Amino acid sequence: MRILVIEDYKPIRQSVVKGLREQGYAVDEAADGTEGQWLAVSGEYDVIILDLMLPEVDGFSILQKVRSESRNTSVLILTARDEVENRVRGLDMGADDYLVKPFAFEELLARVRTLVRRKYDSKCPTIRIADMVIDTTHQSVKRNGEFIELTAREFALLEYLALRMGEVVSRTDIWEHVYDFNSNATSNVVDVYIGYLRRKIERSGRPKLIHTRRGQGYVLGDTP
Amino acid sequence: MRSIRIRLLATLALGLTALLIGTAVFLDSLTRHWFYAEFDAHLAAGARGLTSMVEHEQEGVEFAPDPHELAQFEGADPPDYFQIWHSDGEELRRSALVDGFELPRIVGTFESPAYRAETLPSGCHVRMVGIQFLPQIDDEYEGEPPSDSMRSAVQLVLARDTRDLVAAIQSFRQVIGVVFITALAAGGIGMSLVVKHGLRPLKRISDQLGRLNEERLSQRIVMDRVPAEVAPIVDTLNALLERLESVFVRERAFSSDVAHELRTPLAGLHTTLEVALSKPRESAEYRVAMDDCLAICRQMESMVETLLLVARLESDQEAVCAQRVVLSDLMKECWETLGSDADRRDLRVSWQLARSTAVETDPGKIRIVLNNLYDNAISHTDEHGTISIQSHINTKSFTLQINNAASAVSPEQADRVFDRFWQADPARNSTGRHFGLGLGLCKRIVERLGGSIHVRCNDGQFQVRVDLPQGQVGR
Repeated sequence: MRILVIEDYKPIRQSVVKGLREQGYAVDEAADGTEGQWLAVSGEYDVIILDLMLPEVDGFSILQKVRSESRNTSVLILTARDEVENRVRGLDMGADDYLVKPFAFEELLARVRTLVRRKYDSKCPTIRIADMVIDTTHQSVKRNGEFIELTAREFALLEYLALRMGEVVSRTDIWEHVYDFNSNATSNVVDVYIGYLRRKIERSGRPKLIHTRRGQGYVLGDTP
Repeated sequence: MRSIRIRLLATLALGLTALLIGTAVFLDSLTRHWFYAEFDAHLAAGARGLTSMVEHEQEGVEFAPDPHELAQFEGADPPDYFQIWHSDGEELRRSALVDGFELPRIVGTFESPAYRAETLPSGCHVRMVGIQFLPQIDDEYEGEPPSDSMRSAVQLVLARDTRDLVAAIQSFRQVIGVVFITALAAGGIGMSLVVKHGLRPLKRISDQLGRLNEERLSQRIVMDRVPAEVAPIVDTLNALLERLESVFVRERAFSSDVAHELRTPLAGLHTTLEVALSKPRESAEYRVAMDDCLAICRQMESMVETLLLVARLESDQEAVCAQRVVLSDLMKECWETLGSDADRRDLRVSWQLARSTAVETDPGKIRIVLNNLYDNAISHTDEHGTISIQSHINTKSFTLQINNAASAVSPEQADRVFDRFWQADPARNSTGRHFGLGLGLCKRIVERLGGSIHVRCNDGQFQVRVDLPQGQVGR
C-alpha cells in the first residue's frame, strides 16, 4: 500500500515514514504544504497522513484540494489540536479519521490498516483465497495451515493483490501502490517480485493462485 | 464577622434612645417647672386673697375674714396652712392646722412673693409662699386714714399640701414613659426596615457575586437605579471582573497552548522510540534514534526554560544583575553566534551603531533579548533581504532598532507579535526553534529593565525598537 506522510515536524515525519516502510508500506513524505499538496493530487496513494498546521499551505486546504479532485484516497489527520471544532471541521471536509498527538505508533498502524481495508471494501482483517489465509494485522500468510515466510515487500504485493482479489491488476497499479519514489526499482521489478511470491506460495505442487493475464497484468484467485 | 446592618441598627437605636431620653428629661423638666409655676401662681393668688382679709381698722390691724372665703382655705381638701404676723413678729392669726409648730417666716413682696418647699413636722410636704404687705384701710375707718408710712407691714405665709401636684407630675411622667417605649419600639421597627431597604443594593450585589464562578466570569453586575454611593463599588467590581476574566482567558489559552506545543515534540519522542523498539536493530540505528530523542528533549527543555523565565518575569521573581555594559559591543558579540545562519540564507546585514558608551543594565538579559531579535530577523527576513541593525544613545536612553524585510507579516499581525505562542506562520518551524515565545519574552525582559519595546510593520518592513534607560535598572 502506498502512503503519503505530510508533516513538517521532522522527528515525527522521519519516525512515521521509517515505521511504515518497515511494515512494508511504500511511503512518500512532504515537509511543507506546497510539496504535500502537489504529491497528494499527483500520486496514487491509498492513505494520506496529514498534519493540519503546515508551512505555506495548511492541512485543511490540502484536504479540500484532494476532495475537490475527487480522489478516493483515505485521509488520516494527525494533529496536536484536539478541539472538537477542529475534529468536526476535518471530518466534515472529507477526512476519514483523526488522530491527536501524541499517539501510539501501533494505533497509527491499526488505523492505517483500517483505512486501507475500507478503501478496498474489505472489513475483515483476514483474507481467504482457497487454502491461503492472509492476516493483514500480523502480516502473516498461511497455506493449508502452514506459515509462509515473506519479506515486507512480498507481503505488501500479496496484500494488494488479495485486496483486489479476482480483478486484473496491472503492473502500473502494482508499481504505484507498492513502490514509493525512493524505491530503487527497475522496470521489471514487479515481475521479479511476482516470481518470488509464486515460488513461496505455490511451491511443492500447490495449486496456482497467481495467474498471469498476458498484456494486462495479474489476477489473484483460485481459478485462472 | 461585623455586620453593617447590626452596626447601623445599634448606632441608630442608641441615637434614638438618647434622643428619646433627652426629650423625656426635657419634657419632664419643662412640665415639672410648668406644674410648679402654676401651683405657685395659684398659691400666690390664694395668699393675695388672704391679704384682703387683713384690714387696718381704728383699733389696729385685724384679720377679719369672710367665713365663706376662709372656708376656701381651711375647708379645702387638703386644707391650706397659713400664719400671719405683725411686723414686730407678734402673731396675728394662724390656721387651725398650724398647731404645735410655726411656719417659717419667708418674706416676699406682694408683686413678687417668696416661695419655699418645706416638710412640716406632720410629714406633710408643702409648698409655701410668703408676702409682706400693708393691710388695706377698713372702709368704715373714721377720720383721716393713716398714710402708708404710718402703717406697719404684715407678713403672711400660706402653705399648701403638694400631694396633688406630685401625683399630677407622676401621671405625666407615666404618659411620657409610655410614649417613650412606644416611640422606641416603633423607631426600632422603622429603623430596621429603613436599614434593610438601604442595604438592599449591597444584598443584590452580593447575590450576583455569589452566582459568579470561573465559568461565568463574562457576566457583570447589572443593577437598575444604582444608588450614587454604590455605583463606584459596582464599577470597581465590574472592572475587577473584566480583569479577572481576561487573566482567566489568558491563563486558559496559555495552558492549552503549552499543552499543544508540548504535544508535538512528545509525539516525536514517542514515535521515534516506538519505531526504534519495534524490532531488533543495529546499534548504529539505535544511536540515531537516541540522538533524535536527545534533540527533541533539548528543544522541549528550551521551551520549558523560556516559559519559566517568562513566568518568573511576570511574577517579578527574576532578579536583575546590573553592571556597566557597552551595549554596542554586546550587540556585535551576540551577532557573531548567529551570523552564520544569516549567511546561509544569503542575508545582508547593515550596521549603524552608536559610540561605545557604557550603560548600566543586565547583560545576561540583554543577551537573551538580542538573541531572540536576531534569530527572528534571520528566520523571517525575505530571501536575500537586508537586516538593518542600529543603535542610538542620548542622555536619557539607549535605543536599538532592527529593521528587516518581512513581507509575510501584515501590519495587523504586528499587534499580536507579543502574544505567547503567536507565530506569523502558525505551522511549526521544522527546526523546532520558534515557539512564538521570543518577542513576548523580550517585552517582559525589557520592561523588567525599565525600558520599552515597540514593533511596527509597514510596506513589508518589520521594525523592532527597544528603548533602555540610562543609569537606572529595573522597575
